[in-house]
Amino acid sequence: MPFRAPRRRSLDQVPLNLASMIDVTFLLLIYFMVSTVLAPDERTLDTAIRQEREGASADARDFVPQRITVTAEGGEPAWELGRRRITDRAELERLVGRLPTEAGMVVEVHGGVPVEVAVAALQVARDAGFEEVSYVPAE
Amino acid sequence: MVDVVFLLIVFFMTAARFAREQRAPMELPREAGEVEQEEAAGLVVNLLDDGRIVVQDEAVDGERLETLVLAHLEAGRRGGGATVTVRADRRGSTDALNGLVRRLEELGVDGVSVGTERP
Repeated sequence: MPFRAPRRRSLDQVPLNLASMIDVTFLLLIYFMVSTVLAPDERTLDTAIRQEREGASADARDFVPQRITVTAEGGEPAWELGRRRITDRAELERLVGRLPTEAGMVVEVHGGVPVEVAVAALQVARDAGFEEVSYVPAE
Repeated sequence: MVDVVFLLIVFFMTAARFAREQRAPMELPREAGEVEQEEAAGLVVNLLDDGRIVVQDEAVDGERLETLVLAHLEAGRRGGGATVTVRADRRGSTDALNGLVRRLEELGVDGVSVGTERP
């Protein structure tokens, strides 16, 4: 008795329309992109200078931290190191580079100064090797 | 085919819009910052040059800022830490920055990082 295997050919030739599949996939992708709250890219920004509360370091309690005062007295923003008033950044870098770094650095910032001048003082202190750099708003 | 092409156009338009809106338009201080960054920036508070505060693309007042910061600190206590990064426009005044730093300290933020852009 002749038996014939069932034909599989018809199954192999089922046409699959890929265009609609891609269509649906993109629609799903767009749907999830629009509906998802994206984590802001800002969270991966470089952090520059950590500001900590004055005296947060336990090791440096015995020392008085160095202090840069950022002020705009006289109309021109300047950095004050001790009694010395500095308007040239290279000069500030040179002087801060000579200071001992163990006790940390306090950058006291008065109002009315451009932000970039205050941040420059933080950066100079960091570059000079100070581990603890504190931003302190002046009273 | 046309369908897919239009979908691709819509996709890239949407993606471009998201990319534009993720950051508030502002100029950061041009400093080198720290070479190494060990942890995520946490909550990012943008301080525009006119003193407005923007968090997650939303202009916030003091009350809303307090809510966001306290929620961030609470999430940090549950794990992962709660760092705050202030992105202050370099053309702005330190009056606003000082006020913001004081406010964050009052709310219990231990350390604030200042955002910069590399020159």
